[in-house]
Amino acid sequence: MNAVTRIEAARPQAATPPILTTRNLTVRFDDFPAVSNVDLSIEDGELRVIIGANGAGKSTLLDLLCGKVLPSEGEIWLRDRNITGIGEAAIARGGVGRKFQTPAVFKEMTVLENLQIASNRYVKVRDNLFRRFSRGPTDRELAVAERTGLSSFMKRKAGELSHGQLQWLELAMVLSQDPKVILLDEPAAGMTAAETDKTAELLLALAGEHTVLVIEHDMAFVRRICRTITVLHQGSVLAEGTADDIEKNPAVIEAYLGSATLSHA
Amino acid sequence: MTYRSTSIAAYIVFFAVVFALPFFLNSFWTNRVATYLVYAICAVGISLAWGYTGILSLGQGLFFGMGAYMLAMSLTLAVPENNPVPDLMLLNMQPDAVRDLCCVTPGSFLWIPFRWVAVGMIAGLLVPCALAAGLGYVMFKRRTTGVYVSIITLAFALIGQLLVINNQPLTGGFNGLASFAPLTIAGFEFDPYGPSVYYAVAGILFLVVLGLRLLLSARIGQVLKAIREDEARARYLGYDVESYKLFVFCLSATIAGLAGMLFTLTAEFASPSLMATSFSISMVIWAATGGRASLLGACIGALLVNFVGSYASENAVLQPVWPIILGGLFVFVVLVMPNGIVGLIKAWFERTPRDNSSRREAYP
Amino acid sequence: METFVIGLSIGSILFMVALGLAIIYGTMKVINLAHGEMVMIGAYVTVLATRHLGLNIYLCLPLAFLVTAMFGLAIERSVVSRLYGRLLDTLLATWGIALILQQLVRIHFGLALFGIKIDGLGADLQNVPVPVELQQTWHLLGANIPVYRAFVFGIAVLLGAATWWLLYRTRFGSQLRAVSVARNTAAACGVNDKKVNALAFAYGCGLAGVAGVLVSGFKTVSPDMGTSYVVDAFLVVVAGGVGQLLGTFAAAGILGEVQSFVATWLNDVYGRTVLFAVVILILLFKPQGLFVTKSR
Repeated sequence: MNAVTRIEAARPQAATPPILTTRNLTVRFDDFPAVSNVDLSIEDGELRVIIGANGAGKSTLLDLLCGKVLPSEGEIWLRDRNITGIGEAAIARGGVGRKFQTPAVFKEMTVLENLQIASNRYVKVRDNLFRRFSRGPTDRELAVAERTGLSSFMKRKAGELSHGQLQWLELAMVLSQDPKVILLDEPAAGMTAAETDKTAELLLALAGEHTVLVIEHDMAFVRRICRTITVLHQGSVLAEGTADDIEKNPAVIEAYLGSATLSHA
Repeated sequence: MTYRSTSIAAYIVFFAVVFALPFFLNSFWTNRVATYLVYAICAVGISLAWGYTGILSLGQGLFFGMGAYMLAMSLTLAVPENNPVPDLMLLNMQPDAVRDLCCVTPGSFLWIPFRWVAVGMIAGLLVPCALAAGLGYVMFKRRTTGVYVSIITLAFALIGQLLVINNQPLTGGFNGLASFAPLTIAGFEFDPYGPSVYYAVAGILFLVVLGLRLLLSARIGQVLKAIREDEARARYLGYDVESYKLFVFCLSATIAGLAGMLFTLTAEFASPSLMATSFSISMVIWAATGGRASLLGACIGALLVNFVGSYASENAVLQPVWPIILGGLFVFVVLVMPNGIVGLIKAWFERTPRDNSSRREAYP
Repeated sequence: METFVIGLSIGSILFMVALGLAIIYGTMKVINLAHGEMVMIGAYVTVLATRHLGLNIYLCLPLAFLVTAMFGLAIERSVVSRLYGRLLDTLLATWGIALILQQLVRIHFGLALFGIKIDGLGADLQNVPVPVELQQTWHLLGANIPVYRAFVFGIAVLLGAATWWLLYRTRFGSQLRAVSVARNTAAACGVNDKKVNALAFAYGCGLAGVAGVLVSGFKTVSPDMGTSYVVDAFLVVVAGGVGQLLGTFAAAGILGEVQSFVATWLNDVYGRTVLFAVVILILLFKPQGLFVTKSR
C-alpha cells in the first residue's frame, strides 16, 4: 500500500504536505546539541522507525515532537500547521499521541476510567462540568480494549496490571485519542517474546489508518515492522532507508563499530 | 454493605445530626457549633483543591479573611452610630478631615459601596475569587507546581495579612473589625446565638457539599483525579491542565470567602488573625484528619479537631499540652493515616476479599 | 550607609538560615518548616548556656550548632525519612514538629507541668548578654557601624566558606552533591544516601542554630521567634536558585538590602511585604532562580 521511499526522492506531485515534517530542528541543552538540524518528512500512514545509539537524541526528538521540549531552532509542522511551541495539550488535540518508554498511565484509576479519560472528546473545563462518563464502556472503548487484549480487565485498577499489560493500556489510551500521528518510545521494552510479537502485529495493523513513528533498539523487532528506518547519531540524521540499505551504509557501519550491532536475529 | 452505600448513609446521618443539633444545644453551644460548621465549609474547599486536584494552598486564610472583612465592613456600617463614618476612622483621622466616607481617612472611600449589605455579600465572594484568579493565573500558566505553589500561597497570605495590619484607618489594623449590627435581610434578623445563623450556616454547608458532589461526579471529577496523579500525562491527552487548576483554585477560594462571611455572622469579628499562617495550615490539617480526598471527611475532620481543641483549651491539665497534641496530630496523620479517617474506613472495606466486578473506585 | 550595614546583617542571618534550608532542600527536596524553630533553639541554647553555664557568646556558637544538629538528626530519623518522596506531607509534618517544639519551650519541656521552671525557658521574653567588645560602634567613613552587625556578617562569611569547603573539598560533600543531583545513581555507586540525608539535615539545622545564637544578640528571644525565618529563608533559597551556593549568598544579600532599605524608607511591615512580593515575582518569572545553569 504505502511504498515509502527515501527522503531524497521527494515526490514533486505531492498535493498534500506530509503529515509530519520538521525543518532544521535543533535543541541545545547548555550548549550541548542534543538534536541538530534534523529534517524529517513522514508521509500519511507511514510506519517509520528511528534507531540510534544511546544518547543519539531519539527520545529528545520525540520530546520535541510532542511538545515536551522547546526547540532552540527549527520548526515542526503537522500537515500545514506549524505546531512549534504551541504546548503539549494543543499538540495532543491536534492529533499527536505519545506512548512513553515507562508506561505513563493513571495507576489509581481503573482500566475503564483510564480509557474514558483518554477518549474523552471534550477537553475544556466548561465542557466537562455537566457531562458524565457512562458507567460502562462505549463501543469505541470496547473496541480499543479488545484490540489491546484488555477487555477482561476493565474494572481492575491500573496499578494492578503487569508491566506488559501496562504497556498495552497506554497504547490503548493513545489509540483512544484517535490520533493522526502516534509516537512510540520503545514500545516493546520489557515485553516477553509473545507480547513483542503481538505488539509488532498491532503496529503493522495501525500503519495506514494512522501514522506511526517508533523509536526502537531491538533490531529484530525493527526488522519485523519497519518500512523506512531513520538512523540518528549524535543528534543528527545519519541515514535513512530500508533495513537493508541501512545495514550496508558505510557511515552507519562506522558509527556502530561494525555490523554486529545491526544484524542480530 | 458496600463502601458506596455506607458513604451515602454517612452523608445522611451526618446532615441529620447537624440539622437536629440545635434542639439539644443551648445558645452558647449553638453558636459554637455554627462556627465549627463554618470551618467545615473551609475544609471542604481545601479538600477540593488538595485532595482531588493536588493543589496544596497554604494561604486559604487570606481568602477566608477577605470574605470576612467584606461582610464585616457592611455590618459595621449598618450600626447606626457608625454613620456617616465608623469609629475606627474617627480615631485615626486628621483633625480637619471631612467627616464623610469619601475622604475622612486615606482610602476610606473604598468603604462607600459597603453601605449596602448586598455589596458586602457579593464582594465576599467576588474579591477572594478575583484574588485567586489573579495569583492562580500567573502561577499556573507558569507551570508552578507542588511545594512552590504552597510556599507562594503562604507568602501571598502573609503579604495580605501584613497589609491589613498596616492599614489601621482602613481595616481596623491588628484588632480588626468587631462591632457589627446583626445581618438583616428583608426584615429578618439573624441572631448569632440563635437557630437562624446556625441553620444558615448548616444549610450553606449542605448546599456546598451537595454542589461539589454533583460537580465531581461529572467528567471533571475524573479529569481532576488524573491531573492530581500525573498532570503531564493529562496534558499529553489534550487536557489544558492549567485551566483546570485555575478553576479549582478559584472555586476553592470562593468557598473560603463564603465561609469567611459566615464567620462574621457566627464569631462577630474579622481580624488579620484569620489570615495567619497557622490558621491556614490548621485548615489543611482538619481536611487531612478527616480525609483529604473526601468532602464529608473534611467536614468531620474540621468538627472533630475543633471540638477536641476547644475542650483541651478549657481543660486546665490539657491546655498547656494541646499545641503539642495538635502538632503531634499533624505528624501522626501524615505518617500513619495519610488518607484520614475516611481513608481508614475505605481501607477496611477494601481489605475484605471481593470479586473483581464489585471492586470499583468509589470516592465519597 | 547604616541602612546598608543593617541590610548586610539581615542578609547574613537570612543567608545562614537559608543555607541550611538550601542544603536540606537540595539534598532531599524537603521543605523543613521546623527550620525556624532550629533558629529558636539556637537562641535558647545561648540563653541557657550564658545563664546557667556561664559561657560567653563565642562558645555558644559551636554549642548551638551541635545541639540543633542533634535535634535535626532526631527529626530526620523519626519523621522525615519515613516520608521520602511525599513532599507536601513532609511540609505538614515538619510544621507539626515546629508546633511541638515551640510549645515544649513554653512549658519548659514538660517540667512546668510539674511545677518546675527553668530560668531561661518559658513563654516570656529572654535576653542574652552580649560581650562588651561587641557592643561597640566603629566609626568608619563617616558612618556608625555597630560592631555586632559586623560580627554577624563575619560569622556568615565564615560559615559560608566552611560550607563551601565541606561541599567541594570533602568526600562527604561530593556524596551530598551526588545525592542531590542523582540519588539513585549515587546509591548505585555505593553512597549511603540515607546516611547522607540524615547528616545533611543535621548540618542544615546546625547552621540555623548558629544563626539563632547571633539573632539572640540583637533580638529578644521568645518561643515564636522562629516562624518568620522559615518563609523568608525558603524564598531566598528559591530566588537564588536551588543548589547554587553562590546564588543563595547573593540572593540573601540582595534581599537583605531590599528589606533594609524599604524598611528604612517606609516601615518594617512594608519591608517584609516588598521582600515577599519581590520573591514571588522572581519565582513566577524565573522559577529556576536568579542564578542557574540551564539543563534538561
